[in-house]
Amino acid sequence: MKVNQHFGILYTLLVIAQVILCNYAQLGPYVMLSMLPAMVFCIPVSVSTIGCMFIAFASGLAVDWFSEGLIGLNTAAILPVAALRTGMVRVFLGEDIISRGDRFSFRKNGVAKISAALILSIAIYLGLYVILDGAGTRPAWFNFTRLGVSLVCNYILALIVTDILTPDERK
Amino acid sequence: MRKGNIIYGLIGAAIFIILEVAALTMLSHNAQLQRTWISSGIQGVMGSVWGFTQNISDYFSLRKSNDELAQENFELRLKLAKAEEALTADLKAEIPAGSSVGEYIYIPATIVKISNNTQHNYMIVGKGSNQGVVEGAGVITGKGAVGVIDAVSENYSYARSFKNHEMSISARLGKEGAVGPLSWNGRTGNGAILKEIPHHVEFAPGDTVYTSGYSSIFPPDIPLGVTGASKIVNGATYEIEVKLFEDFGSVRYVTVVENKGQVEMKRLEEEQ
Repeated sequence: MKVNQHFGILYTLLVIAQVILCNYAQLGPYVMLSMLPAMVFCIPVSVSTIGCMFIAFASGLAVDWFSEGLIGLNTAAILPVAALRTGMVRVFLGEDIISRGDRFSFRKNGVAKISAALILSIAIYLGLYVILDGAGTRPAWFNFTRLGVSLVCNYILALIVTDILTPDERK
Repeated sequence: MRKGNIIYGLIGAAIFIILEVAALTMLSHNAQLQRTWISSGIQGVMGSVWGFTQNISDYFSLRKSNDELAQENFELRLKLAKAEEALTADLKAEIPAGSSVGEYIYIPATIVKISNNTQHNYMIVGKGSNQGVVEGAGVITGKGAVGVIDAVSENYSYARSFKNHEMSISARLGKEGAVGPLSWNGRTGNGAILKEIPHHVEFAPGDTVYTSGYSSIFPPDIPLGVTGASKIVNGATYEIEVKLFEDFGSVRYVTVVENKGQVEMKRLEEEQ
């Protein structure tokens, strides 16, 4: 229970940090920084997929609402990550975590497995974000470049976010 | 347990769809570019779905359509034989080939989607600019005039149905009678009202109403329906109820008809 309360506070603070990031960290047309995919992926597996979708919807909407972007863009992009989160945890981290309602961390599950799941989450989010943001007006090379560059930047950011949201029990 | 999982999965999928649609709706309401893109995407998908369901429906109604076409063929052959018999050899040589007859170009098409239950009905015709359809062309069948093309995309056209309050056709009472606007009565599937017929004109219930040819859209002498009850309006003109030949609930195969002189006529009207 204590862990969940901490998670809620940390998650809320990260949403606020994401709003600040959207408003003040403009790194050019090819880089789009977002912590949302990692945040949604790190929601405890004891929270159901439906609950996870509602949390993702609320956080996406909060980021859209308080930042200078298009309302609905982050929300639409983050929802598939929430919908597929349980499946990704099952595939990359194993069935045990879901059946026990356990938490995962870099120490317990390894950086490689969590990284693979994070990269897929970010790719799903960015893929939708780039397509919806471009609305068919930007060339494919631009979209792919933006996706690739943002994926690398967001992966680094996601490692930090995951470390914050899923601390090792030994710490 | 397994059944519970399936139900939970279905509920999850439904909630995902609802939330995603809500997000996309917010996005399209807040950005013009995204609105246009999402709308065109939805229209593309809906067009494919309509086309697919229409193909299935067409397949199962082939027998009925064949019977109707055979009957229509028979009537046309009969008319052609009579016309050929009446023509002299010189006139026969002058008849042009192709789908263009006189001032009109005819393009066969199918109805992909039709709306019949509102006051502003429309239809989507399965031919577009790639097949030569232009805005302002008429849509006819062997049983009457059914609409006018309002907008054209590459492979589809949007036509205002005759069953639309904004639509009227110039119609003639009999082949030589008085001319007036014919419009849908707004109540029944095959009811229309012919207006502005001078009160001295003689007619009887059951007389046929044809297109007059006075509009630049429809060719003359297309049978539209038969007259029914009538009343005098403002002591000057008749309003005549007309029962249309066309059943809008089952119309599938149509002909788009384009008047080659329509643009020139419109330009002339605008100059005056």
